[in-house]
Amino acid sequence: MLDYSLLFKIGALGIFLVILDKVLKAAGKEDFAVIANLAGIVIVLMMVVSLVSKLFDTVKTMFTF
Amino acid sequence: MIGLKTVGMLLVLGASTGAGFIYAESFRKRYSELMELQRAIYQFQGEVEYTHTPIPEALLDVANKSKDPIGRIFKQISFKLENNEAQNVYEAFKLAFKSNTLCLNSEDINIVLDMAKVLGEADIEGHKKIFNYTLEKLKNQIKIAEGLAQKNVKMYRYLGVTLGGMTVIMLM
Repeated sequence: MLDYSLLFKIGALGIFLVILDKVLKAAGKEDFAVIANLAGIVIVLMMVVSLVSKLFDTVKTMFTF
Repeated sequence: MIGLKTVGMLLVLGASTGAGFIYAESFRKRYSELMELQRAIYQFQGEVEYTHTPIPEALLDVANKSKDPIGRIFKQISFKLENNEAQNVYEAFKLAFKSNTLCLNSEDINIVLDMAKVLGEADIEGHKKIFNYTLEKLKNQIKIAEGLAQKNVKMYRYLGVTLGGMTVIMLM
């Protein structure tokens, strides 16, 4: 069963990242905006990495008899 | 249990928002302190050039009419000079600026300290020149500080709220 709270968490994080990106770009700090976006991507990847590994494990079971 | 978690989240959010607001406020404070410093030096210039008041008295007069961080510093300088606590005017200025925490950066303080090096050690023409030089440099700093305040105050406020929100979501 999929844990839906993770989806909402990622969605909310995305909204905050968009605000952060806009604020930093408006203040003329484009380089910091890029770093913030990259950090956001890494954080979200860390959140879903266990699910992705679970998915790979599931796929692997289809080919092993 | 849920109540405790909510309180913790609100505390984290409140703390980061507060930190953002306080940091943003320091830019505004620097601007207002620079403006007050400029006004005080204009008044000090008038006292020295036109009424030929001795420096400790002139500083006390300026201090009584200035707003607080700047007024307090000028008062301390005046007392130090009056009670012979400092070797010269420059040292009195240096000690007073060191013992007070201001939002001014070292560049702003150095402009005033450069002025203090000449105070009391030149004729009226020399004083006029150093006052004009100091005020010109201060005006430049005010322009820079105003630009920085306009750009950064909003950004640091939003940054505080956003980073707080992100922390709360990650801890959830």
